[in-house]
Amino acid sequence: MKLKNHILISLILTLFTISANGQITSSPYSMFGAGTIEAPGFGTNQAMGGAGIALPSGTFLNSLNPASYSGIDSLSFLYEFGAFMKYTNYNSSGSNQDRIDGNFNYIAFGFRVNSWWASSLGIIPYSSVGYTIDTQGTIEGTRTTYNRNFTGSGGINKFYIANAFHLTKNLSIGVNTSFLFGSINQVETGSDNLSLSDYTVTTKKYIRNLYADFGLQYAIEKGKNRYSLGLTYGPEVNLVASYNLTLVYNSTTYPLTYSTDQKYLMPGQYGVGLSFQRGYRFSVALDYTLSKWSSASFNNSDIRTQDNSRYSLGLDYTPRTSLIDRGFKKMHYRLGGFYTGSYMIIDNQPINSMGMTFGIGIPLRNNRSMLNISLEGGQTGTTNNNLIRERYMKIHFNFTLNDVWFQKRKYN
Amino acid sequence: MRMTEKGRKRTGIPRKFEHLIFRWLLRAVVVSGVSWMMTACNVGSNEFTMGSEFIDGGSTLTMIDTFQIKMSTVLIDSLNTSNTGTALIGHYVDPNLGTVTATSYFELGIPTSFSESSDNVYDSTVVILRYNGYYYGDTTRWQTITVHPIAERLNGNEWDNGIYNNRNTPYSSEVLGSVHFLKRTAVSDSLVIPIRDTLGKDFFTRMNEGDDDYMTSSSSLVNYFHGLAIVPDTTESNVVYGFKADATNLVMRVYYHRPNANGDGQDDYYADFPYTSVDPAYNRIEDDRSQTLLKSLVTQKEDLSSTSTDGETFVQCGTGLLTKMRFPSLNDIQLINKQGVIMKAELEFSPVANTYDPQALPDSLILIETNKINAPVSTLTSSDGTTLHLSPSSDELYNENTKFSVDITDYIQNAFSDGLYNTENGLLISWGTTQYLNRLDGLVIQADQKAENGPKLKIYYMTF
Repeated sequence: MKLKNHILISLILTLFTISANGQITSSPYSMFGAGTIEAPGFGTNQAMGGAGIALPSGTFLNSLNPASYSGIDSLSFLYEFGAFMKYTNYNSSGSNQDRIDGNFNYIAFGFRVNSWWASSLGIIPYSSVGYTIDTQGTIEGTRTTYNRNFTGSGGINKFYIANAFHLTKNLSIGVNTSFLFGSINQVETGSDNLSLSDYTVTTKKYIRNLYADFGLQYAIEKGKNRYSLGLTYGPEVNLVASYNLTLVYNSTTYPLTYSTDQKYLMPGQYGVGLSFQRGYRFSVALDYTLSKWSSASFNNSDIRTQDNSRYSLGLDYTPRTSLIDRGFKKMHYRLGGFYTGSYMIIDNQPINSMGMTFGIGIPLRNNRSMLNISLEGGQTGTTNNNLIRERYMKIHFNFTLNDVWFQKRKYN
Repeated sequence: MRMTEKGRKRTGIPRKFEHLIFRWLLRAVVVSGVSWMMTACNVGSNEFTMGSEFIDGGSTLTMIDTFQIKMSTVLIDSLNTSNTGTALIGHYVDPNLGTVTATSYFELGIPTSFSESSDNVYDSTVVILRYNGYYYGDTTRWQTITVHPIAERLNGNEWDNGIYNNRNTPYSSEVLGSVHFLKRTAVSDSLVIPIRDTLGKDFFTRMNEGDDDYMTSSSSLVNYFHGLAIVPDTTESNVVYGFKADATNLVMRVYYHRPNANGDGQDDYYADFPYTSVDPAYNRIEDDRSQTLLKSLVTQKEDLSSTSTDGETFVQCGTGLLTKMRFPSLNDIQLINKQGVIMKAELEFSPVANTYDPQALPDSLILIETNKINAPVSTLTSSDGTTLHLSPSSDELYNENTKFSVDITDYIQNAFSDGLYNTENGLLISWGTTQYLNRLDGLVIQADQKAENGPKLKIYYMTF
């Protein structure tokens, strides 16, 4: 592919990704805090249960650990683009609702700068908000009730530039500097009020924050076997929101201000991962991530926060034994699972998530690029205490384009 | 490697065919995946009811009705009752509002046509008044009214050429005519008062002889004859009637005749000397509240608090009585939350039970902004700019809980436009201007906030 095409496609996809912001989830749980925290990683990681802190980038970009980019080989220009469709069934107190969501959700590039330095940049979702809730309100001091409808949208995106450095043959470190941006929006509509006309309260909280997180990978190769350890650290940061709060009532717009500071906590995060790879044919990764959510507060008396742990395990296997193998033998088969403990305790009920993933990677023409399709089935929440259990099936499409760059082809 | 491959025995589908299937499968997956995304994004935007227990809207709607309302009766010391189109005549004693006496003053103009002839013979003269349908008091009682000549020109005020309800224009004690009557509601549409021939004959003669000094125009006639005062007796009667005051409906009619052309009889004629207003015509409203709780109320600048009038306040058309409401604790709303928005303000008040006829309650009261000195500043309007009218509502079954309720959101919102509400300001409760000047109706309002039907200011307040 020519550089010109790269830039053009990248631009288009970047615009898609940015404009798609805010339509990538629908979960009542996303009303809390900055919304639903998106599962990390691109197509390959996602097919492996989200595991891969210790895996190198190389055949794909591994965004779980900024140190991984040092695995990009010197002639590659890697390019990740993803989209998904998600079917969710919500169950609460015996009633069921369904929803289908889908969108483009990330784009990223990665390349090697020189022998000891590789970089990646991209736009990925950090959190997303999407809910529509109908409820009844009562005018305090009266028995008058009215309908309240809440629609939440938006989310936080992350534009990152990551740099990875080979310190020694075995050790690489990485730093991921990112700009968090986006808005958390809520529109409340009050209607069917016998005493008052309809009103609309619109809240837009804009987030613009700089952030940095760090990673390390240590790998030992013995023959075809590669053993690797990965560590990641992200500091706690308060995402300070500027906001716009307005009431529209009887065609008049009232600008308002909050009495309290509006901020979201991005918790401190510690990750550790182990991996084993045998050539290109087999890899297995195991991750543990601890997020220090206990210092966050959602300003809601029903909700406590706690530190949460995420465990994930993934496998990648390809039967490919020869470069000239074709068809199913060249495909990668991936399997994974994860369990995420809750950071929110709602009415004394943790909102845990767990899921299984299965994916295939289909090599494309130049043999280095790949179309990854994965299927994730999982659940979040519980029906206890009249809470909501979400069961979902998510199909994830991801292109990993691996273009040979900085090289002139030679013809004989 | 190649050797191994070659040596392997294939038992399944031929490799070339497998490759073909793979290619087609790949294409199918990509095409169907992309088209699924294009068509199915955000399908199922059906309303979500789950999670409603936890939603934190941030906004709270509260209704507060504990604001203090200070009510008082005030007196507008003079009302311009000139040229209102109504002649109010009568006398009535109200237990709450005292005695009221209405006298009507107006001028007479020259007839539009008069058939001059030396054969004309004067017959008689009457004043004809036509009821406008309004009455105040007891229509079953007989009453007497008398007609007097006004003693001087009805000069209007220098600044507005109006004459006010408290003006006592002198009239001659000479009675030109009188009538003792009982209105039979269904049949009487007019009241006819016989007038002494001395006046009628004088007018007839001057018209018939073409008096160039006084009978050329109404303006010249009023120099000669200053008009009529129609005066109720104040002993017997207990009702006030409204009559139409205009040139068609209020006239002094002079009857005359002359022999017909055949000489075998006579032709009858009449000439109407109509109501005119070269100078303003007006109704004088005298009130005497010395026997009521309102006796101390004499100047416009004072407020007679409801606490000294048995927890009631009063409104009366024609006499200048109005009820004033003030909201001394309204600024407290800002103590709750400076972020709040006043969504709606609703004012409620009720007439005192057994002081009114449910069928005859005013159906279009108005509210007038006022200040410390009780000057009427401006009438409250609704959002479309028209005057805000209050009509009573009641529980239809028992005719209970009769109240007036009105949305005064704009007033309350504007009251805070300078930051703090000036608690010296308030609202006056009145009839609409036309009615207020053409009637004598009264209203007794419950001013005690502790009473079940006491006044209330309900503010719907949204906080964040």
